[in-house]
Amino acid sequence: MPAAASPAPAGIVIENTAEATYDDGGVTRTVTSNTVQVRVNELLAVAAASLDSGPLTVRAGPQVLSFLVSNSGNGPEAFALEVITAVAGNAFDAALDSIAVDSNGNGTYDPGVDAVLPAPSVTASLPAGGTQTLFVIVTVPEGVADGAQSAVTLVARSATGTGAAGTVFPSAGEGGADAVAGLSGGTATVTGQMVASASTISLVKWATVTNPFGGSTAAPGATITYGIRATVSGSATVDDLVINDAVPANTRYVANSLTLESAPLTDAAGDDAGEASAASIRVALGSVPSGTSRTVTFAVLIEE
Amino acid sequence: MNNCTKFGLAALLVAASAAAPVQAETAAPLELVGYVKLEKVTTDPSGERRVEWVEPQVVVPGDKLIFGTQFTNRSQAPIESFVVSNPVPPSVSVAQIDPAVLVSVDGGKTWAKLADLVIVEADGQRRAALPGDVTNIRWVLPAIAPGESGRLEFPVTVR
Repeated sequence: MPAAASPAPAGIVIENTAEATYDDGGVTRTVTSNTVQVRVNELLAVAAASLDSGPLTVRAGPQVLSFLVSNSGNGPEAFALEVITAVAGNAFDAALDSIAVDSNGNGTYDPGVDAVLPAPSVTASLPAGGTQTLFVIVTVPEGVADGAQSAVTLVARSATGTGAAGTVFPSAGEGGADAVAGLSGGTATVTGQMVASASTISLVKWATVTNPFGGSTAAPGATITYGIRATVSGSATVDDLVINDAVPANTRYVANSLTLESAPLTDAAGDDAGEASAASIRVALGSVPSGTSRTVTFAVLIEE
Repeated sequence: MNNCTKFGLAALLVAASAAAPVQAETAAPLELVGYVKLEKVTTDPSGERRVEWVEPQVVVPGDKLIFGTQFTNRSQAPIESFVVSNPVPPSVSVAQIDPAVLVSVDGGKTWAKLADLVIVEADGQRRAALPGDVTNIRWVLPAIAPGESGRLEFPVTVR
């Protein structure tokens, strides 16, 4: 196919003139026809697409979906935006916070930089063929199950008007010419997908008693070694996981007995992941990927 | 002085009859009338598709138009070596071309039948010319009898 030229701009006049030459007794004569003129009206057409490469993995809290709205008509046009979060088939519905435009054009939502569109959310006028990246910021509710899915629909409508294909909006187009709804009726609808990622943490604690006489009787003077294993399951990494445990009454913490994954930790705060005092122990595990576990141990002495 | 005036007037008359279209319509033996029609597709209640060609009122990209020229020989003598040239307006793309008609794909520098023309793309690739590449159309008629008329048309799509 020949190079796809951009559509004829709204408001231009297409003119056609034919010229004839003929022989008139040895003299070549030229005749020009009248010029016929056709004015191009404004076509209202819009396309919308999701810019996310697939379903967004989300957790409770704010999430950003990215969309592209394109003016596929032939005149400058603004588009009114509507976001629908309650979509049939959703396992959960997010709540709409705001719609923002990619003000700095970097394709990433920058809070405070990318301008939020106040309601009613209408884009700036986009030139024919122009596009606008949009961010839809939603809040995912607490308590969503791991793997639960949710769709968010963005609808973009020509600000001049929408209607069945061919609907004419008299004098509403560029330059005062009529505007005409294109095949999509001046409306575009696109859906972004989210899939919830949640994790559960299981803690298992056990105790081993050893007494100075080589047995396992929990008597004064015996040592109790506690083990705590945290296991993360689900699809998400858990961040900032911290294990706290109190030193039981009538026992005394055994100095420098704290370990993480069998490696000793000091009792002092700040020099490693662990800290211990007469009252309690604390180990900061940081980010723990799903499907892994961390084991902490410490020892106490049963007071006499 | 007097002679000069007469000469000047005569020269003006010749110029007017050759150049002014208004004058040409009444005085010239050949009449050319351009027109344009818009394709209007309707579907009747039984679902049958009907195509009408109407006076364009509202035209948007993608619409199909026919540009045409009606010629008439108003004189008592045959018109010979009749050639009609029509540059294709920008903003439209020729949809279909009579394979026998001469066309240009380079703004009128070279002419041939469409099937004999080749397009060299920006990347050097060569391909057969397509109707959408046509920039000029030329019809050549050996003769038009006195009183004879006809139409020369080409369908286009608004870009």
